[in-house]
Amino acid sequence: MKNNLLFRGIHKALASIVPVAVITAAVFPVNAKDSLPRCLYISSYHSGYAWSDGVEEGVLSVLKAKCDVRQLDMDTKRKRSKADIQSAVKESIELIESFRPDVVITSDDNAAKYLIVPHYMNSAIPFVFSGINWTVEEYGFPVSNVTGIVEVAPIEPMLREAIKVSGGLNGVYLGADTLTEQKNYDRIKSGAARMGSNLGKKLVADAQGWKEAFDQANAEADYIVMGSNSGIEGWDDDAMAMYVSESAKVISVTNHRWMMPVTALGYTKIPQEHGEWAAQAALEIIAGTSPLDIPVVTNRKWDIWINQGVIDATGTSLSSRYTRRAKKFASNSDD
Amino acid sequence: MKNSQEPLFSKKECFIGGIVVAFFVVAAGYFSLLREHAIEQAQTKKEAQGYIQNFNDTINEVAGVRASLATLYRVTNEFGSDELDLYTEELVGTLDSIKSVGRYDHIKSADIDSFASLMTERGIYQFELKALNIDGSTYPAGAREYHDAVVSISPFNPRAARLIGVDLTREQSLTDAVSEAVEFDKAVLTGYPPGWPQVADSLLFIPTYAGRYIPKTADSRAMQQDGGYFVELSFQRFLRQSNIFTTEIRLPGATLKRSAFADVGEPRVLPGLFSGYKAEIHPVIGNTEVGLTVRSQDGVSKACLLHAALWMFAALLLSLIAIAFIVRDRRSNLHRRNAQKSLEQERQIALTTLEAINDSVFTLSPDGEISYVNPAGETMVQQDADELRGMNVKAAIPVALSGAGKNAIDEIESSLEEGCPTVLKEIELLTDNAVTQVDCAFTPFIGNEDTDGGVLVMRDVGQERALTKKLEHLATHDSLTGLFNRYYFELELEEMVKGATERGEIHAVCYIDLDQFKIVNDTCGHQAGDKLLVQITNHLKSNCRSTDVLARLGGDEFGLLIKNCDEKECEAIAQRLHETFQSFYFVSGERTFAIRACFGFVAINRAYDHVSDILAAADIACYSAKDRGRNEMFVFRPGCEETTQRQGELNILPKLQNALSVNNFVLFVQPIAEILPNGTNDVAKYEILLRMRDDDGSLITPYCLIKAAERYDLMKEIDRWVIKQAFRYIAELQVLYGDQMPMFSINLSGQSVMDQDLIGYIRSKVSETNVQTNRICFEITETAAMSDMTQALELLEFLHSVGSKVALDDFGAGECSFGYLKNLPVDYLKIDGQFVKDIDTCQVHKEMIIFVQKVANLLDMQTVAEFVENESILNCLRELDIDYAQGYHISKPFNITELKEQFVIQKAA
Repeated sequence: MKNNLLFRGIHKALASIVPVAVITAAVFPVNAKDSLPRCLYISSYHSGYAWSDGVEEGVLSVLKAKCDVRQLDMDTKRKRSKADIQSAVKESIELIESFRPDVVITSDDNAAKYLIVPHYMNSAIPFVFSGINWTVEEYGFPVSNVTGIVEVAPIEPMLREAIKVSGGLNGVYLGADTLTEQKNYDRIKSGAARMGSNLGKKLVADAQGWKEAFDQANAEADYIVMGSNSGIEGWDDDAMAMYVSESAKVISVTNHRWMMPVTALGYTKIPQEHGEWAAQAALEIIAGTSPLDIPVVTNRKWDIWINQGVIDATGTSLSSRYTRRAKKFASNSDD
Repeated sequence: MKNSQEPLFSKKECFIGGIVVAFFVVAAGYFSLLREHAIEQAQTKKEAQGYIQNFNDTINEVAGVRASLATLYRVTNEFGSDELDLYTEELVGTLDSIKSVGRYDHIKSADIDSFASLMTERGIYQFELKALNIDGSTYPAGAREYHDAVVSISPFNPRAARLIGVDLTREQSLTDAVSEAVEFDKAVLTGYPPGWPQVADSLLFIPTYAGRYIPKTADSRAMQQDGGYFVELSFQRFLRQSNIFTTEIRLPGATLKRSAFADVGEPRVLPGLFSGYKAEIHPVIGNTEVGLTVRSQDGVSKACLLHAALWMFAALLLSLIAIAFIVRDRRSNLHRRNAQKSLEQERQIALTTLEAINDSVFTLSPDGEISYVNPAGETMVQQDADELRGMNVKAAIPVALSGAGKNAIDEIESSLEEGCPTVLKEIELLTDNAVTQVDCAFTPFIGNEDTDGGVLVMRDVGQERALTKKLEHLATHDSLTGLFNRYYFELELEEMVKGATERGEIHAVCYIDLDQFKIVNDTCGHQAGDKLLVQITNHLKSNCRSTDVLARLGGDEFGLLIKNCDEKECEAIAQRLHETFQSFYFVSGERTFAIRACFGFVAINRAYDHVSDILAAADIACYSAKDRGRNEMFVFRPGCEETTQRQGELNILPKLQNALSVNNFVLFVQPIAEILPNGTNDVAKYEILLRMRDDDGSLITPYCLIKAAERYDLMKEIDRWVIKQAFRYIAELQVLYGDQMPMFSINLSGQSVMDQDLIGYIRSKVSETNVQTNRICFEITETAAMSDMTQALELLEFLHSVGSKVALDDFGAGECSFGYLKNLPVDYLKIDGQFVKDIDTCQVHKEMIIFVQKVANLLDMQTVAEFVENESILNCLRELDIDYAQGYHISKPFNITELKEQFVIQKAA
């Protein structure tokens, strides 16, 4: 009888103590992040933008559980005014000062152009950039506190295939009327030139303009290089895909995975590669490696896609070797 | 009991058993360990072979990689960094030992700038040649003729990218490896350089050459070399693979030991007893031999030990079970031996008992044959046991053909058949020499159903019966005379009283007490006395009827029970017997004694209920006969004066005894007056007298009291009581009277005078009470003084020595001798009252008193006249010059306590 009472007493005590302990642990958890290094990820653009989402995915997949990550989207693709950009820069600086990160990771050009270059060149805060298009010469990278990965596109194989399939050297670059697209056009145009091809451009502001430019390109050129639709007002993937399937006449190529609904062949970059590289470099820097000892590199991974619908619309036939090796695009395919 | 304490095992057995058990247990453990170790070794060997095979496979894989890289480089112009990445990702993902694959280009110093531009196009910005410090930091490589610069590495990541631009020629070991690889056109393995960022153990260099075909000679290969591939290898996973191996991998410049990378496992036990498994191989990678040594730890695992412990426990358990069986067996044997010993002991005890006892014991078989007989039995039937054994009981035991044992054997045989015990008393056993009276007891042995024989016990009861009769005779007879003793006499008397009261029978009892028997004893000795008693016995027997019971009741006292005759006839029988004594003489030597006797006769009739009454009556009758002057026969008749007196004395006896114990006596005093010539009297003395309170409070006269006390020897005690109490009173009175203290006379009986301890008693009481002994006078009778003059003189001398006076009491009443008087130192003569009480009328008594007075004057004694009952007597005494007078005329006796009151009154007057 005594043992039963004792057991009941202990049981009651445990029954009252355990929930309290659990609740206490839940309300006042030990902050594991306090012991982790702090990493700040600043995106030039915004969540929802396919490229940025890919980079972010790569960053977070590496830093997960290794770093206390905080993210800031500068949203400069949608808010392009100078004031908006400066506001985003100011917010970024304030966050850097308040968060005091061990390393800052940036993605795409605007962060490098408006944040790193004017405010943090050779500063004590290490920066790892990613997604800077084609070259870093204009920013003066690398410097003592800055390293990163440059975004390049596999333009040579893409142009080589476009010329080969179309059988002509006259091409048109179709994209949004943005700084990035202009840079892309310039880079690809140089590449085309090295192959003896002439590449014109049609940079548009809205979907209708894009359709019109598309139709003109089909009429004028042997092949179309599809730039990014980012910044084109009124873009609707399904509608544009429908339009392209009905009106495409020449082969089209692109370096952007998200442009495959309206493109026949894709030589696409992989945004996660940028995010992963930048995150790995950040961890190296946190581990003690000087940013200068980590060379600035370009991305190396790319993939081949075919959109059979668009190809069929143009009446083009591809070699079986090519079609066997290329990934088949479908509207619901993930990669 | 002793056997039960006998140990089950001797010390030697315990020692050997312990050794055997220990050996068995240890052997079980050892062989278990051997077996387990063999199993472990086999398993280890199997694993080690697999491990070695795995290592060889890895080496082969590396060789394959080497071959494929070199081949890919040669056969395709498109195998650049992109393709290398894809190839390496697959490789690293598949082969654990390959951490990365890199490409170095053999560059002329002059081509560095153009090469840097090319690298920029390839996506490596600011390409420059560098060298690595030990800590991984870089510094410019400096100018050289040729450089072997790292241009690509896969997997490509920021850490690996740090190697881009590293000049291998800055590290001698790498330079040597590259040179060796080119010289022999083989892959060369070298140690992992310090400062390199990867986690690897070694570098495998695979040279490539310009052109599609490999140059044949070393020199041409040196000339055509355009770089090569290096593979970062890690063998650490081998060192982490198995817990059971202590592994070493010997690589160029380094030996990898398992202990540096992985726990070598828990230490094993008994390493000195069990060696581990060891294997060694030396595979070749390219041009480099590596070594792999696989060795498991010495000893056995704890699991083996546990297994061995279990076996040891099982062995111990088996040993204990075996011991338990042995113990049980031993204990069972021991118990059996003990039981047998105990049984044998019991048997020996039984046999010894049977042989020791005086009873004859015969064990009979069911058919009546003797199977055992003890020595007493042999003696009883006067045959040896060997002869008796097997003999039928009827033939063996000769029983009288007549008497109680006539059919004894038949009854025993019948009892044997029926299985019931039989007891036969006082059987006469006939032997060659005599007839022996025996008691027989036969007890059959009862088996399951039938009788299994029985035991016959025969006891010789002849001596026992004779002894019993002798004891009975001794208990009832006088050993000297052969007459019945008092015990038997009283038993018979009781029967007679019973017959008288219940059946009206008439009997008589007669006490016979010899006169002067003491004289015979004193003068002729006790043997003569005994002879006299025997002669008296014969005399009495010859004059008694055969039906009467004659008994010796005491020393010279006989009793006769006269049975069944009327009172007169009984009295006549007693009278005739008494008369025969008148002519009975006893001759002892030259002296002849006329032996007479006093007879006390009591007729037994319904008047007596108790034996004690009759005995008391006979006693009284006998005393009465003695009082009559001896040689008398006194017939007790209830109611006669003499008898009543005797009975009164007898009745007063218990009262006397009670009075002594409870102080039921009272002291009186009677004044003794000095007879003065002028006709006056002056009380100067008091005689202390004794009274006894009766049950009703009345005082018993001293005559009866003293008579009884003297008869039953109580006077000494009474005198002492008087002395004690008188001394106490006198001591109290002397305080009151002081110088006028009168004198007190205390009477001493003849028994006290003869008491040799009286002097001591008086001395002690004087000491206790501090009484003035010069105020005390002791009165003794002349009879008492004459009975033992020597003792009397001693007492008188003592009394005088303490200042006391002595008076000779009742002078003239006894057998007074004036000759004795001359020698007696007495102070007073108390003239017996029988002379005084009629002095005024009897001239004879007057003359006698005159004579006594003259003698007293001559002997310087004073005289005291008793019984002075009137003035006439007193006057006569005064005329005769008697000194003191005592009697009722002077004063009646009164309680001594009144003396105090008188003193107070006199004092007041």
